Amino acid sequence: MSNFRKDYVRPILVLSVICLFCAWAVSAAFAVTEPVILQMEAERAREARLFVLPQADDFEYIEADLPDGVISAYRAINGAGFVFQSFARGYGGNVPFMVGMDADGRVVGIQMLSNNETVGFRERVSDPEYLALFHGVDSLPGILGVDSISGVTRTSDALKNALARALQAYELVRG
Amino acid sequence: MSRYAILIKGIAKENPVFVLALGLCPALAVSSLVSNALGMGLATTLVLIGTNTVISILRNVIPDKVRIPCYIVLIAGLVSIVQMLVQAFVYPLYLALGIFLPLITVNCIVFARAELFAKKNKPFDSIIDAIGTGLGFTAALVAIATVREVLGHGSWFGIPIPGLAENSISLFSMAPGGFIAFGLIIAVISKISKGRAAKLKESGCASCPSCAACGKGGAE
Repeated sequence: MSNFRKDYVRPILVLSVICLFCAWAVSAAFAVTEPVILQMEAERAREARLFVLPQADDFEYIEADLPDGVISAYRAINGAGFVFQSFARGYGGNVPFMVGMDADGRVVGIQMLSNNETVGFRERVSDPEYLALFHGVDSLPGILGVDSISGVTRTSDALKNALARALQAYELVRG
Repeated sequence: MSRYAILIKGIAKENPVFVLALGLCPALAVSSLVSNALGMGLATTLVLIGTNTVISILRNVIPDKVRIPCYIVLIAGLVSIVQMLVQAFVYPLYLALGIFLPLITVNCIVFARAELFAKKNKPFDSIIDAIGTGLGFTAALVAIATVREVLGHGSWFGIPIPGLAENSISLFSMAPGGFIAFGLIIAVISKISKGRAAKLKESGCASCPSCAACGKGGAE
């Protein structure tokens, strides 16, 4: 009987108690950190949208059946414009962008989001000077009118395709 | 063994990365910048101190049969807590560490110290061992990261180095650079220690945590 206890009961009990304790500790830590994490996430998302559309005050989420490649669409409460998150295929998978447009559908701000493009190359596309060449563009010919960067063609194409998708989304939500 | 010796052996004689060749995955992945390497090293040290302490306190409670599941649950729980704390309060570090933060759970260094040291020693000694090993891991990461950041980014700890910043070798900031830097440092250490570092007994097959289960102990 004592062998049975030592060999089976005790290991099971000890492991169960440890599991329960760990589960309790993790959930306690979760309860403490979750509100902070959620609040910071919302704050960061807002800041990212403000970065591409600085004229806006706050944003509201637009419920819509968005085109392929467009993840989300937000409308500025004060009517300054829209912010779309869209992606397109680059060299290392999909490259997501945050695109800000004014109320007339002109691109006013672009930001490249985290991706797997080659380090050292993607920086040439995400360079603010290059992205600024697209500001004011409001049509597909306008997008294609900006030169791609040689050597970083695939990432440049991803940017152009993502912009084109954001334009499609704009046509859909401008109402 | 004196406490000083316990502390020092983790840093030099039994450096987890350069001598025991443990934890290479994060050592190569999170060593492109000195600041990230430092963060990864300290996060691992924190987890090590926690797990070594808990496992050492419970060393007479945990039955041998279920010790490995017990260790894993304890380590995973602690890592989850550290991960949430880092995400909530040190967000830039959370971004830099990425997947390697939760992967501390399966970091062989943490497991090796539980199995090789904390299981058999008092809590205070185990804490010293954790600090020593953690600092050794941090030092190794910072060493690799120094080579990679200086050559790959032309900076050190974010401070640009004149002359190098304009002529960086981007290979060193990518994965192959990690292997190259690691290889170079191992070569230098072997040269200095005349090959002794690589032949340490504890890094051999006989000291593997699964030695008993494998049954080929020492038959290298």
